[in-house]
Amino acid sequence: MIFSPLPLIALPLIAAVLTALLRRWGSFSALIAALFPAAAALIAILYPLNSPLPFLGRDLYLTTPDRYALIYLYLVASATFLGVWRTTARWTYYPVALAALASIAAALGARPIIVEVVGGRPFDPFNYAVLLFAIGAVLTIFPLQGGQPGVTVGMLRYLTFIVIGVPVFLASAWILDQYSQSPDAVNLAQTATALLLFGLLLWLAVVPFHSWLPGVASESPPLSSAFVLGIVNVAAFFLMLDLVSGIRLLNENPLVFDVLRLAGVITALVGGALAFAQRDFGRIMGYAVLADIGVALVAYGTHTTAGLSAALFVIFLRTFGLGLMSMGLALARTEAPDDTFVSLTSLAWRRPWAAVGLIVGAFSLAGVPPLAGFAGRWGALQQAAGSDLGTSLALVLSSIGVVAGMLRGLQYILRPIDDPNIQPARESTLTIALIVGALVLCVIFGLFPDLLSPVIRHMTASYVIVP
Amino acid sequence: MNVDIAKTIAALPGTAVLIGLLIAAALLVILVNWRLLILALGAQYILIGLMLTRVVPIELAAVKALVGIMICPVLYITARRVNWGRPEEDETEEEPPADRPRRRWWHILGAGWPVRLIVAVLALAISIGLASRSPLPIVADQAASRDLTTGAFSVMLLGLINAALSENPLKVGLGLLSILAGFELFYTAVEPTLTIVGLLGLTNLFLALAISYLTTAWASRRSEVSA
Repeated sequence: MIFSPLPLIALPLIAAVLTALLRRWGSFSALIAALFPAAAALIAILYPLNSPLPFLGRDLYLTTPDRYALIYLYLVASATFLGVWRTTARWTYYPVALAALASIAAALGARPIIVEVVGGRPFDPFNYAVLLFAIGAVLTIFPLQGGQPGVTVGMLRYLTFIVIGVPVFLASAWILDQYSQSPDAVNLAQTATALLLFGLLLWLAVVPFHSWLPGVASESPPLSSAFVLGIVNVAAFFLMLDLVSGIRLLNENPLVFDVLRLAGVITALVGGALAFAQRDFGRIMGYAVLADIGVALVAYGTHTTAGLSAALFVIFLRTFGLGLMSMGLALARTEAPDDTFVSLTSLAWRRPWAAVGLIVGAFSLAGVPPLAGFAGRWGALQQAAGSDLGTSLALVLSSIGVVAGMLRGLQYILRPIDDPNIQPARESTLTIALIVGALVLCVIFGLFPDLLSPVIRHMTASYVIVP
Repeated sequence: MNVDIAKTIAALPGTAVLIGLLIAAALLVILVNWRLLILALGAQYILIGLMLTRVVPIELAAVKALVGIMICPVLYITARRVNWGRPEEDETEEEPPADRPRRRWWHILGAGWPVRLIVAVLALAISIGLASRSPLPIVADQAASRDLTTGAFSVMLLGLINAALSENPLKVGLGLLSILAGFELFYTAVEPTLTIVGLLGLTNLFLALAISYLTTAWASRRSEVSA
């Protein structure tokens, strides 16, 4: 029981209860919120946790890729909670976000082991994973809204796409079950494949199901957006890898990968083009992440082990840019009403550390060397160039779009202050330490991305890639 | 005694229950009055529970209806707290002058109700047509399968329309809850596992709480603007 995924689900839940009980002591509950997921990640690093955990009538397993995925998600969550501590005072963030984290961890543990539909072996449904993921995603609405009067549009769209995805996935699970009993019914296989792809594109926020992404990125507290974009969206990507790898119907069908690659190209292009057109840093962050999702899908859509590795690099290395940019935005918002270029005029002189986080984070998300995002994009670009020159050109254009959008904003951030009486705000030592730490990691992983190679090699070896 | 009552209710004619369900689902699109909307949602959940009694044990159908009935008070309390979606000043409004034209009874339907009525009728026609042509193989009884398919398709399609056409979080939320409720009408019949029923119930409850939270936030800005 101890060497099962139990600690990974129990620790965030315990932390959620403790942070709710200790809400009067903000710093204490923030420390609990940051330490418990970090402890869970440490346990997962030290122990394989591969014993089955009986959970509501079925066993939860943790395979190698999901173990690494959870370590990543927990470390990101821990860093996000530290960032929240330094930027906002709302205690409600921690318990709800921790409960969402536990639910998402359970969802990854409940994914299908191997679904041998064609081979006639018993069908292992993924409905538990889908429902637990949906519960986790719905819970994130509370930190996303963050108690702001009248701000609901982005969150409602996000909720809508998540909820529509639930029947789509559950119906496909039922159809796959039917197909396992009558393997000659090709129409069942086609319907299930179409539904699964539709559900995955919905939950991954692929164009045209992306409308919530810029809304959430500009309306919500930046670190809440970072939680959804860096944890929930990444967990959806891992769910996709599990489903495509585990369901033979999907991983043996080259059309599935063609659709994913095409969706990725369109998403990357739209993300880059729309990032260029924005006059709001929050929306630029949303579209930059959209472009990044597209790049990861293009790499995975190449249907090779190297492509899968490149996609995982993109996903993992997105964190540094996203974290830095959202931290910068969160600090900037403490004195600006919104994220528009005009509101953040002269930010570099008023809040230099916020400006550093914002600028470096955005350039990392865009894939500018020598930052972390570049290493991920470079791998994806190499894979895309191997299959299709047009695709690699699209990926380059998407990066250029994000960089150009950010450069338009830079002229506002760097504009000198007219009033000589305004002094730059002094950030606390911990805030500076957080930004500098993320900055150093962003450069280190940009210069030496091979540091992640052993982890990614382990993960790719566990996923099924049918040549 | 209780079991007898449940059995009597479950013995209601399937077609009558289906017609009631379609009317309740259509009302969720047509109406804009929050009190009536929550009432229609409650009726929809009860009728879904009744339809399910034909294909799953009464206890399981009752759990489904109960989850829905638990959601209605959550939304009711929220709606009351935010003054049923009206700015606060409406409450303190003085008596209308005598020369103002008297409101007709249909004002409770809100502006634009004929368009919403047409959309709802069209959606019902599409879903009934689709379900009659190719009913899902839910149970061995053809008539029951057809009724369940009709109910599921109609409630889901009308829910989708509600979610797509509105900007008010309560109405969008009712649409999302309807999408799940319509799907559960079909899914509970094919997957009657208690754990799945429980997880779906939990999803519904958290969704209702999220909708309440968003509705409160939406109404608070309206109050600020009107003040």
